[in-house]
Amino acid sequence: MMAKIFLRVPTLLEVIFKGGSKLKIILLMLKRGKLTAMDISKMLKIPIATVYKHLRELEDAGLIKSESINGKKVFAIGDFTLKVEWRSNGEDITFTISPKNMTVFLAVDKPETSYFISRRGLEKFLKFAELYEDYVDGKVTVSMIAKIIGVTAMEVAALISEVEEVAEI
Amino acid sequence: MQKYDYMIADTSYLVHLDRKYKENLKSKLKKILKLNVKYRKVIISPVVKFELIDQPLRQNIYFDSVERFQRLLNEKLIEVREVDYDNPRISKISDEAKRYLAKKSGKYEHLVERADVETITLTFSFLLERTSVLVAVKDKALKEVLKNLLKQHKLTAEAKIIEQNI
Repeated sequence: MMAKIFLRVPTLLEVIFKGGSKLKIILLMLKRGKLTAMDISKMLKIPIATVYKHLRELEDAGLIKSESINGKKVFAIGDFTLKVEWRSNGEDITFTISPKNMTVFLAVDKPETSYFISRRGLEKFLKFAELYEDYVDGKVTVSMIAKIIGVTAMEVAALISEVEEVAEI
Repeated sequence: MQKYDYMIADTSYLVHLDRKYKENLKSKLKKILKLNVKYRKVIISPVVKFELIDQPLRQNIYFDSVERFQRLLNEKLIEVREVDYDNPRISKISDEAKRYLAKKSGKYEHLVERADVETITLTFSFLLERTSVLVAVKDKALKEVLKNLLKQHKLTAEAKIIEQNI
């Protein structure tokens, strides 16, 4: 039985990352790597002053880090792990969010992903979220993930396709 | 633009196209083939056919996708080719690919099977017959193994790997 509160994970992430723009900055960094404030401002079409404000807050929270390269300040995603232990209406869920699997959790209310959760259960989905980190690193293939979780390769491929769509800004 | 003789695709790539274009899958695939592939055919391994059709059918899922893939197979836009493991060169490449993938997989090494590298082996079956191929794989792991093997066997000019999602 699917835990209904799990569908609220995208909202939870928006709260953790303090609103849509900050989340977009994180997603952009996940996709593009190191970026300057000007890059982010141009790509997301957000005023530079607002970008700096968001970057400062994200850096203070330890979610991103900065360094100076050739005199330019560049920002990149930090090495964070959020362990979420969520209790709501008698349902308990524990899961870990990292920069690499964050987009998996952002997809939980999307059609393929919510269909997967309702059909296969939350446990298999959370296992997928864990394995997705290794998929991003090129350590496992779709077929291997399917074997480990005990689902079809087509389901895993469809999930990954949707997760990658979420990551597109 | 250089055209390749055939296109070889894996499950991830075809499922990605199918979920994105649904009823327009055929026309999208035709467009890709028209632009890049001389014989306008997508070649898949028996494992990929199993993952696209037989396995979902057994589990009663993704009927719409299965139907679309089956139609493309009937129309011979997609064709299944067996890998000739009796050919010692192919068998050797299969073992090399498996070894590379196992090395990359680390803790999942024990899960790597011959079937996992069949798209790579199929690619080499064509290349060794001097047939050029456009390879559509989405798995980063397989992509990297394929790149290494193409370089090692000096066949980079005859094969192109699609790098971006379409």
